[in-house]
Amino acid sequence: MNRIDEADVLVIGAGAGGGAVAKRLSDDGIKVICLEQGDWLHPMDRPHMSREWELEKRRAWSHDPNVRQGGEDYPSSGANPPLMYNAVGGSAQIYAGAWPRFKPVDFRRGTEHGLEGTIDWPISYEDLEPYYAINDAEIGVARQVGDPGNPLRAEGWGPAMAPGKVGLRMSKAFEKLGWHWWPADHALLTRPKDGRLACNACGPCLAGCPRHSIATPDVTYWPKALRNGVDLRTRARVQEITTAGGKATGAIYIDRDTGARHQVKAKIVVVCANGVGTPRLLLMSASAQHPDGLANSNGLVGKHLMYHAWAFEDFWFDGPTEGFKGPEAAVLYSQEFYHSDPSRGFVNGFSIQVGRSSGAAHAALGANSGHTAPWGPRHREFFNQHFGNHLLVYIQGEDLPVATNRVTLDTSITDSDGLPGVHVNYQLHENDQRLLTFGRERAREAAAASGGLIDASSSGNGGVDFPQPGWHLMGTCRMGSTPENSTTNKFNQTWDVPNLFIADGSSLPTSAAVNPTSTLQAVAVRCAEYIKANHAEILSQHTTPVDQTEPVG
Amino acid sequence: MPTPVSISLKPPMGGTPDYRFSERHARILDAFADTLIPAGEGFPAPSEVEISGFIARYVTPAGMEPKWYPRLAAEQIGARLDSLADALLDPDPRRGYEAVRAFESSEADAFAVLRELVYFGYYSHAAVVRAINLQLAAGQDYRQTPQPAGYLEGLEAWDQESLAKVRGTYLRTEEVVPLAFQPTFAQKGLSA
Ligand SMILES: Cc1cc2nc3c(=O)[nH]c(=O)nc-3n(C[C@H](O)[C@H](O)[C@H](O)COP(=O)(O)OP(=O)(O)OC[C@H]3O[C@@H](n4cnc5c(N)ncnc54)[C@H](O)[C@@H]3O)c2cc1C
Repeated sequence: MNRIDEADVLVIGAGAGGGAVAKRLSDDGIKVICLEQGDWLHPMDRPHMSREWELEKRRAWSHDPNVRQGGEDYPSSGANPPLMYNAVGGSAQIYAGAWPRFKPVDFRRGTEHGLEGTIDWPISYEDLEPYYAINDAEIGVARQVGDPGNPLRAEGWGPAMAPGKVGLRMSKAFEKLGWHWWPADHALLTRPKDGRLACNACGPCLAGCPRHSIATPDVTYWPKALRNGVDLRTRARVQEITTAGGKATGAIYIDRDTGARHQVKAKIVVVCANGVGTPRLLLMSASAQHPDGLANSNGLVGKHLMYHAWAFEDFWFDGPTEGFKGPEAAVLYSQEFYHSDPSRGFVNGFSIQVGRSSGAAHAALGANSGHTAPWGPRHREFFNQHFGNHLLVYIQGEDLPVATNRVTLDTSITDSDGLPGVHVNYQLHENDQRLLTFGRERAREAAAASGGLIDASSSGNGGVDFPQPGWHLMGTCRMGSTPENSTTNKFNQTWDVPNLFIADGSSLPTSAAVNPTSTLQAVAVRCAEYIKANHAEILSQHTTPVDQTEPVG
Repeated sequence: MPTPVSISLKPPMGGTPDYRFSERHARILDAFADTLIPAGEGFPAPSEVEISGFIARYVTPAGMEPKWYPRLAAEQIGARLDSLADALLDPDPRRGYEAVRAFESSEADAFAVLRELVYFGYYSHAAVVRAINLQLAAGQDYRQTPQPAGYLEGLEAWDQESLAKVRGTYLRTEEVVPLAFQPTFAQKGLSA
């Protein structure tokens, strides 16, 4: 071992969960070291000012690490690859900043139906609500308050993003149908904050934001965490979490510049490596005391992976939508079909999200469903009819936590340091297939209601025609109320190792029918507050407590 | 001894200037692209907007591994263009058209990659963006690059009257019971 350092808390992963944990802990003077396998990104790394911005989304800005093949990435096998980004800021570096919250019912799906691996969350919406608010205030959100379909939220840092023609068209359609709808919350700035510029509606958010309008942890939490003195080490890949006497003692990491191994010793370890990276690391940390991997005595690490159930419906109209204008995240949503209604033939529900388009090449190459402009004499007519007249409706369904949807190690593929890659099995459950089929019909109904529809095309129930996009990596080390049904307790403390915490997408027991990051960051903030309030007690624990009280009033 | 340095090599933005098509290959590629996107209605031909120069930037020179999209090796594209040469350079455009059709049906994946490159290159050229601005009602404001200008100016605002009409509800925590006992929203008269 070349170098040994010590910290109160070691955080692994500088993404959405890790950034929040590191910053909140260091606010109280706790000495934090954070290890991150990726780099800092510079605004000029982004393709937004380059003519090739659309093509580059298939190269350095692909969402699939198997395509990018960066030194910081690790490979995966399986038909539905997990999508992520490995850098300071984590996968949020390529997220859209859609910022909905889970609803109260989402914390109680076990009570409601308990299908497959569904359990209740060990906490309620009301327990998490204060942390949603703290997190929103830290990062700055754009919001229109007053959605009658959700509990009341505080005003955002700025107003909701303007809808443009796409949003207005579909809001009128939902209105005509008498369905619920509301302007989407976004983790982006509609007025400047902390040196970050307000969004100017340029479009390709999924290649990141050179203006720093989108709330990515490298521009929200990390500058403050660094000012608090957090020691963030980049290009530092953790290969193993170390333990002794039933406690985590720190981790061994590889300096990706030199290949040298170093050790960090810590009193508490918090893993925030995401819904795939966290089970990978726990499985790589198997030892004589933990032969099936760390925190895995019940065999649940890596199981119950959820991606959300997705279907993409492209629609074209007889007049301009100018869908190339505005952020990439959904402009508005309808949650008319959010709640379980077994008469529809499935449990759980979905959000109908209305998205915009992209550039001219995107239009020519078939938008989101492969409806490619023909070549030859008919090309011009097709392109001219389709470009700028398009919008996307996507169905985002809650997927059941299924035990066989699972992350395991794949030693036949390795990262640039020779550590094993992952195998990811993800298949949609029959319930979720039915949900998507029903949802796609509703999407078509809504588009038709908006009038002037001239063409439509569908990805099918993702996973049948196309792979399911693995954008949201959830559930693989879930929180729960008992050591039998989960990997951690309600404050993210692993059942097997009391001073080992997990606070990232893997912590979420159910996926809800909304994007996960506002919720996983609220969970991470709550975890940090718990550690702050109970630091000494945690260090003396030999078993992980089942019931504790909330850290803040 | 530390193990070797692992550098995070990323694909260079905009490709590289390392590869050049021969004049003959450029002519064949131009003809291929012109067959895919015929000029007209105020839009230029791909050959008029340096399409082969654009594609060349994404070709991996001989001796290097084509690691990133479009994973196009110099030898591979060279051989492909040679195989299409006779038909595409024939003065009768129908021969070129038929050859491209045959290519598409016999090797759909290879064809798709070349078509993608043509579409990407063509629709990102300033002259084509200008044509979109001038010819298409929906494209008047379209720009070649999303930044630095963005599209905020003139983006329509929410209709406050519509917002005021929105209806909706949600289940409170204490209302969640097993589905068998849970009234549907319609039964509760809560559905919009
Ligand atoms: C294309 C795309 C669009 C998305 N859009 C949205 C959206 O609009 N709204 C939304 O809510 N969510 C969205 N998401 C999801 C969102 O990005 C994730 O939910 C969120 O980033 C997950 O946070 P996390 O903390 O679990 O992990 P991450 O943010 O992925 O962070 C994990 C970090 O851990 C590091 N790490 C992993 N293993 C190791 C190791 N062994 N050693 C050192 N470091 C390690 C990684 O490099 C990474 O930086 C999107 C995701 C994608 C891919």
